[in-house]
Amino acid sequence: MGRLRRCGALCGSATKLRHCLRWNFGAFRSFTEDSLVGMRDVPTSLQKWLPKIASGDAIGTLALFEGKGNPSPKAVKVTANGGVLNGVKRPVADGAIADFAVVAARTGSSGRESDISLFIVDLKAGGVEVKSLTNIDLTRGQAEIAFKDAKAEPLGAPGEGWSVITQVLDRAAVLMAFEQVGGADRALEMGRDYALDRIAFGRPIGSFQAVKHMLADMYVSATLARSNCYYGAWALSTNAGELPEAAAAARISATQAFQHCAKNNIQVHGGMGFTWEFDCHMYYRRANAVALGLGSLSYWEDALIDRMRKKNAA
Amino acid sequence: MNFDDTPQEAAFRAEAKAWIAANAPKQYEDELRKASLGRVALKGANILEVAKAWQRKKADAGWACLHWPKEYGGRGASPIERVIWQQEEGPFGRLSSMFIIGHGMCGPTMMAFAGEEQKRKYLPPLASGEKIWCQLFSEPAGGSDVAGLRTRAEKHGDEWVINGQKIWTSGAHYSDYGILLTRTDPDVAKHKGLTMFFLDMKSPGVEVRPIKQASGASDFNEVYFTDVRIPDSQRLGNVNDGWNVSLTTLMNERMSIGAGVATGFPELLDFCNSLMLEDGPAIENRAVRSKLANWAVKASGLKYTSMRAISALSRGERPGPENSIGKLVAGSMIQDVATYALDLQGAAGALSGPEDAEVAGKFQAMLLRAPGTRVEGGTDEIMRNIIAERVLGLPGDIRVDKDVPFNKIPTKGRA
Amino acid sequence: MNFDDTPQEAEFRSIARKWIAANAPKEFEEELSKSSLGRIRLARHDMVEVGKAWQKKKAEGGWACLHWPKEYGGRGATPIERVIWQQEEGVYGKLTQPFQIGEGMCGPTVMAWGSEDAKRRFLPKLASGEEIWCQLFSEPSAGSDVAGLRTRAEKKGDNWVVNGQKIWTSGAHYSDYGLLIARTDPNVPKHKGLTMFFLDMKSPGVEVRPIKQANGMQEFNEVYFTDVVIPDSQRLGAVGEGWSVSLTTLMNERMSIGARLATGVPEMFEFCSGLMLEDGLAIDDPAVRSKLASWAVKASGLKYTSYRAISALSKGERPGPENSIGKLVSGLMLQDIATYAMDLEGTAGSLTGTDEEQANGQFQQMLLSSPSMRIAGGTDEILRNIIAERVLGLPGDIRVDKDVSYNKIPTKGR
Repeated sequence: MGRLRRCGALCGSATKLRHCLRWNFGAFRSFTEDSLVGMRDVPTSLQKWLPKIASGDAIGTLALFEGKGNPSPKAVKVTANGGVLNGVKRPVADGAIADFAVVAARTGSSGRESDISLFIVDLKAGGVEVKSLTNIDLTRGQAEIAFKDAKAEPLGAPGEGWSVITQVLDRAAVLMAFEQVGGADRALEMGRDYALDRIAFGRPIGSFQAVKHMLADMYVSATLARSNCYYGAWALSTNAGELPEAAAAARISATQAFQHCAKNNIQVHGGMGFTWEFDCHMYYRRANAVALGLGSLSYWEDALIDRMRKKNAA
Repeated sequence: MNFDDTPQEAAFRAEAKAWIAANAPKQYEDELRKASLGRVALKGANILEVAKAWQRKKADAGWACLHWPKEYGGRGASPIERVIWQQEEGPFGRLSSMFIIGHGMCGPTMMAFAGEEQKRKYLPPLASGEKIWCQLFSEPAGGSDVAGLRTRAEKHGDEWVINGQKIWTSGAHYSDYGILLTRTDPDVAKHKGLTMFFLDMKSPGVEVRPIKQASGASDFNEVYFTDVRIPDSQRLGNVNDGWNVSLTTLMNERMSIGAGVATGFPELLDFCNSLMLEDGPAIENRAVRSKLANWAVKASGLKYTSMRAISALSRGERPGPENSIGKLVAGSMIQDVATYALDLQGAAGALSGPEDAEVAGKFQAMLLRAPGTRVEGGTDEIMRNIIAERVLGLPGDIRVDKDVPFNKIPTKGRA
Repeated sequence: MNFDDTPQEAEFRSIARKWIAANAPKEFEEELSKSSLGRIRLARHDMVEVGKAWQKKKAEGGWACLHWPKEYGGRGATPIERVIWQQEEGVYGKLTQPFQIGEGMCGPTVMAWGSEDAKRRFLPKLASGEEIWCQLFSEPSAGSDVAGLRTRAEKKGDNWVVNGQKIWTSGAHYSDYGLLIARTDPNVPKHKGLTMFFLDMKSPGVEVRPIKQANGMQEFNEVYFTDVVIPDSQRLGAVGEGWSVSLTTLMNERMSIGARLATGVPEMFEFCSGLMLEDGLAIDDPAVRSKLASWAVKASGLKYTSYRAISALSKGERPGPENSIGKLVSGLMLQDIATYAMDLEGTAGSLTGTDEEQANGQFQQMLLSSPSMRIAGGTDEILRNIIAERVLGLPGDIRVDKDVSYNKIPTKGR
């Protein structure tokens, strides 16, 4: 599937959280696939997994984080020595149902990015312990994966891990941003519908400016985010040099829009929005969880300014 | 406003401090101190029982409902003394959460509208925590628009027969009594056909069902009434004057919810003090500081606004609607604070629960509970209306239902 | 939407670029590139004169009002070509400010409602900048509520006699013609008694008085009408149909104000890149970065939203009210950016001098000018209503004056 079409599909399925099975793995799988398929030569270690990913027989995940904090080579403590991994990754999205993981591990101690390399680990093999973790998004699993002399096959050249991760994160940011925009749009639509149906003081609540203007502001953030995402999708699909900047802009804008719309959708619904009778809370949970999955808003804000500066200097 | 204690106030403070030191359930102090919005629970103990025991102890020694008259179970204390007590009670005050509605709303309504005999019978056990009260106003069709409620009360001899449904009733599942607002005349305009009662929550025909909240917890309930009988002697105020009676309760609600309102700021400051970011302590980071400073001044602004209200109270002035700002400011602030705390945790911020998440999942719990704060006891939008209309004197919203008989008001926005 | 030029677009771009390189008034380039909201003026030259010269040159080269038909002074270009032109025109586009109301609002209204004779007589001179037009809608008692206006037009034979007052008329002091909406029947509900005209601003009885704005400049005017005579041939649309006619103008106003919106972001980025704080460059400070990033994504969101609208336009779709977001977002953002830039300047931020240290005083001017962005051409509140009602389909405000005869509507709040 072309990347542009995939953006559209993510956005579309995100608008229907009821079909959350489809949505659930969509974005994460997409970006794992995308980054792997995007590598220039498919490494042999990956070859056996590709057909299974394509047929849906195997689920892959990216094991990057090790506790709190944002993506950074310094934060990678899991070590790779003599073909085995040791250490703990958490949180790992869909870690409890994944069949294999791409793991960022430390292969040097120079203090540079080149200390980090990527490996593929069969999660069903020995030396791997997986534990489910509770998280605010009830529709997407997170796990802790402990490696004890777990057998690992190198993925790509040694020392190039971090540069691949950076590219993966940019690509994933664009794809996830479409999921976020879809979520924001759906939250806006739910709020709009409720405002049209619900009567208070003898009028639909959507006739009060306080409510109307809240919805108009939600529309504004969702629209700005969607426009940034289109630009990101263009950059992604053409491998444009603007991708790093476009991805960060799409990510920030979509994170803000989804959080804003999900939060105010509950507010428009009043007390009912705060119960499990309505789906509002699922969007609120997802908005806040997905805001953190690829590095938090602060991380991307910082990245965007770096990238804009580089462009201006060039 | 004066920030120093007078000699009398200092003496009162010392007495309260000494009594608390000798009597408070210190084994829970640490846990209570760490509790925050959306997560007041004790490990290995039933919080309701611990709270009732503490309230009972306070009542026995004259420290319950300090500002109530002695004959109704209080201490007859001044408003300032009550504030001093709250300051000294500190984290143990978190044990009072299940009594807040009874003490802050039901009690004052009873005091204003019940007969003398009833006051002497019902208020002291309410003050001592022996009996818990709840407030039955909101309905599915009457949320912000409380007067839009549909629960019917019909007179049969000396009794009223109630049928209908309430919602958002905090603590109904452990309450002994409730105050109940009903419609007694549907043929007149909506504000004019309401009547207030109080009732035994164990009456036949009362059914309480918990509501599952966004956070997964269930603090609120739906309450169904099927042919519930209430003696006319339990009516509060005149027939069809229930709206006026309810205003007493609602103004007290907004006061009492606003009083010790949680902002999330102290928790965030603590967290930033100990958190290491990639390039140093979070508290040294300029972006973090800028946010912290903005929230700090909001939190202190709220604190001193409430002290000004207390000061006014101690001069004998009636606290006005300006106290609506407490909940308005704190509600969205706590949501923003929680969101930012998660942001600082990075990907691990999405984890939740005491076992898996940072600082025992305190900020995740806060994030999931916060939307409720912006709705309960008057939505943000209603609060802004109150400020605009009652403080600033702006005109009210155009009411299309004001002179329409209740049963002629539309119930759906679109076909 | 496609962010790459097609071969035809690339060719058009290169022709435009060459023409601009050969013809633009380069002596003003630097001054124009440093000017920002609230401070577009030239140190030693009259802005309107320089603007007129550039516009005239463009018209002669076939580069004025690109999307207008050739017979009315345009080029018959596609919407995309117009955008490419604007991108290439760059800083010189700031010289077109005096013509924006004419091109964006008066021109389209005359094109839709004027006679063929009127169109051929007035539009080419409007396009070439030879004659400047203004728009006379707002009144002291009718701001957001335009239809509440009170200026009267009474029929006397073949003429109309106009009495009343307009306000907030941009450029009335240098305008040759104006588009005027007046009340012709006060006994029917307010939207139903209005009629649209155009008139010569030099007509006897027209008096223009400049208004001193919050930022100290004078871009807007009050215009008084005392027994001003307008021939019936200068009526646009039917008598009593003025409200429908004005909607053409107002939607175009919101579009055109949205078109080349200043956001303040490029200025702010440049400022932070050069500003030294106590311990380093402002742009390295995490607090500064966080704010800059939030603004930057809004600005890029606006940019790509307008591309989406252009894309829709080039597919033959009519641009809808969703374009109202441009001014809504950028108005508030300019105000925030200016405030923050001054905060970074510290105590010196309160100075309005034009030396380098305070970035030529541009943020101070931005701060003082930005409030009007949030009001002119539809207040933030009206724009939110438009979005809520026309895009999201929410109910309109309850109108207590809708079926009331105009002269029965209250005129004082208390």
